[in-house]
Amino acid sequence: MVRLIFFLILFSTSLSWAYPEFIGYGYASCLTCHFNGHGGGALNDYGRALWSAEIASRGLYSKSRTDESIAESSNFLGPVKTPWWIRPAIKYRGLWNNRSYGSRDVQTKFYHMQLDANLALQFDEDGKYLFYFTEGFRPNATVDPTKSPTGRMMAKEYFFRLKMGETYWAYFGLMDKVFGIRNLDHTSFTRIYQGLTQKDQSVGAIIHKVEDTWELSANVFTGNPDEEKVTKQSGGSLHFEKDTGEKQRMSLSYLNGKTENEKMNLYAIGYRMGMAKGSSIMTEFGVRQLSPLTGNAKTGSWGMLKGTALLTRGYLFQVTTERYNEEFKPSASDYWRWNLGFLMFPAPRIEIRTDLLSRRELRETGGFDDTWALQGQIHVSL
Amino acid sequence: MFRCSPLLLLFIFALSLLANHAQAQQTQKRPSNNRGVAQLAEPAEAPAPKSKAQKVITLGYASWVEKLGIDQAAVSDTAWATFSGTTLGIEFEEFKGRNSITTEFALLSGQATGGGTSQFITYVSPRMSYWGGKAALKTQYRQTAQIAFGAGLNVLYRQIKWQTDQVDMKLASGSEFNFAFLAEMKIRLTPSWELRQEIGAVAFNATTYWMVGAGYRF
Repeated sequence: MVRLIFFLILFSTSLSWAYPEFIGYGYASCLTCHFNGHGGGALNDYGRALWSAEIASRGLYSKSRTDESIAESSNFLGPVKTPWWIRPAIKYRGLWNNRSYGSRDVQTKFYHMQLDANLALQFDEDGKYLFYFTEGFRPNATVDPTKSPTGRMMAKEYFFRLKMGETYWAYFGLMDKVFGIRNLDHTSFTRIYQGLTQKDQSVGAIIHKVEDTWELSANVFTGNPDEEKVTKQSGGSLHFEKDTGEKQRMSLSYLNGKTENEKMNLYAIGYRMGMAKGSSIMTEFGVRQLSPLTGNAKTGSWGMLKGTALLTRGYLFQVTTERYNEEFKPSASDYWRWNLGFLMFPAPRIEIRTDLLSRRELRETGGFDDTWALQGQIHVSL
Repeated sequence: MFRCSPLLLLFIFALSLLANHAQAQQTQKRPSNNRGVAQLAEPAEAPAPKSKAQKVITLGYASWVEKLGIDQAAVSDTAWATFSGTTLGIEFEEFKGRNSITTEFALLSGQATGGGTSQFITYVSPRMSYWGGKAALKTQYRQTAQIAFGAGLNVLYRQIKWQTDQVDMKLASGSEFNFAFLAEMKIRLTPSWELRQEIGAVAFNATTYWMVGAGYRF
């Protein structure tokens, strides 16, 4: 309880402004801020400046310091800009996890989840040709000495990006598969049952068409080199987004994947809507068809509703409700997940998340109490 | 009683601090439009906050968990019962400025599954129908024109009959009447339509209640 109070005090002090689901700020496309036009990975120069000057709290700065001046210090080396052809970045993520909160079996542990080194190399000043690479160090990973010399090092993402004309981009390399709303939470029901979690990047190619009011992406993929052959998934996906109004965007996605043991089809429809500055709502509904080579095919669904309220600059409150059902059958279990959390950017380069997670199972085989977890995360991005 | 309620209360407390802080900042930033006149005229009275009464009909999906007591002969055992189903309710909101006092009345109906985890007595009863109602007195704070937070006390009533073919078995879950402290977040998609997420703790022999739904405002 003392720790909990500490966490809550931490959240309720200083200047609090809310967290952006970026459409709440009027940024519907990931390409605005990321080297990868579908989001994730390191921020480009504009994204770094935006984070510093618009999203993060300015509580640590004097009133006389302008947002423009803060933005100018958002480079890897602070106010010193690296040469135009190189953009390095480092990201650390730590997780404090209190599992089975409220029960006798409570377990508390701090994990060093992620330490990534990113490098973007541009071959021309306009960024028409770009190479991007992320090497990840997993301090808590179980080491398999047969897989890599260091065991805990892995190439998480690498791609060559080619800008073709004004509105077309092509990507070749190891990237996240393009599908659905790219939810920040990799344990979300919109990601874990679809093979879209933090280690599910796949080698392939993406063509991305970006217009002012719509985007279309086509992705072919062949699997992750770190995966076992049996689980390596190859296939393709399509993703379409279109503005339906100011700060409103609808999306449609399709993915077809195949491993040695099963085929999978995913369909999703999503909607994002920006509210008052920084606040937003996101929702996604999807259908999953899983056809094992042996056994019966299963068709199930998932749904997600996420409300984000900007409380004050740099501080957001979020409520997420998710549901997953493996099969459209009355006898199939329903899984529900609630997440109440704060997303905080107390200063440029720092992100703190706190989440209270509740999971409920609705089964025919009996009634079950909820499971709870309390989590805190700290992200440091250089 | 009120499992997890300290956590939820602290969450709401933290949220209210943040919301008040944000409101204070907005008040500070609001420019004065009578500069110069103030030296000559009497200080004007603060305008009375705008009052607005509205009704909201909400259709939602609600779920909660109750403790299930199983007695057979001289043996007593416990398990869990999970309730889930539809809720249809009406809220009467009376906003003054950003704050409101709201009353709500809702009908509950759905199915519950109980048992399955008891240690000594084997019992499972899936998909038992229940019906009931909910009345709430709550306060809401409208953070922006589209987002509101609320919290309040709820009285729950539900009727369920757990079935068994064993004459010496007695079953009882939760409580027919119960109390719950629930917090909610509402997001208006349009002036008439809104989405609502509600979660909280139930007092007697029960744990967490939550609801997600869509409301029509008129």
